[in-house]
Amino acid sequence: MITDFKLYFETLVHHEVEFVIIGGAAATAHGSARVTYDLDIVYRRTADNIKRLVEALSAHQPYLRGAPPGLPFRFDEETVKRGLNFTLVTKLGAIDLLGEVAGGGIYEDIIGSLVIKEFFGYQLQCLSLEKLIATKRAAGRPKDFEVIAELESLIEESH
Amino acid sequence: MSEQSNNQTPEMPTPDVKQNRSSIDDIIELYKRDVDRTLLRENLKLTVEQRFEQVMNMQIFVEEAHRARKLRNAK
Repeated sequence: MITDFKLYFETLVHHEVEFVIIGGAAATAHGSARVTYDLDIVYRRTADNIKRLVEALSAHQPYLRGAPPGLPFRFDEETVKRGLNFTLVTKLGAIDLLGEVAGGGIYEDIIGSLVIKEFFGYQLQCLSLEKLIATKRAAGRPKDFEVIAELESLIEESH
Repeated sequence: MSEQSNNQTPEMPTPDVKQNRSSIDDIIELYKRDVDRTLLRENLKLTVEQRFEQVMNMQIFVEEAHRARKLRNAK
């Protein structure tokens, strides 16, 4: 399934969701050559923003990615408030909603490590390259070593 | 215990810069050798929109390749 990043950004911005792009999508924004298949965002966990997030995505039939079909999953405010991080699939593709990211923290913690990038007609908040590397290191997965190597090379090439 | 050993501070070794690095840093340096910097430089010339369009095109390509493989394996 294709993830339509443009439609995701349009949907989230239209509903005034407060979010920061992290993960592979942020790496793409910075110039990474790696293919990413999902959109990772850190969302602000205020009651209002959770409401806006739910309103934004509900129309696109969010479901637990990789879970067997037919489970009584409801993407509503109560579910989001009681949870934290969600790995979902919608009609727009794969999306990970993180209330907290390892090596970064919650939305309020990473707000000082952002880069504003303009694309698809919007000013969007992306995690900085340096902080992106920190989150990848914190995840501690060997598969991220290649990613970290590329991100560090991107910093070197950008200077 | 001699008086000398009570009064002297053991001499600290000169810090080695390498001690500030972990083995993970060394592993990442090895991975960096395989990073295609030509590709990164080309990507840095693109707008952010173009980078995302490129990623989505790659997704389509990969999906088509998987579909073709399934069809081939089904024969």
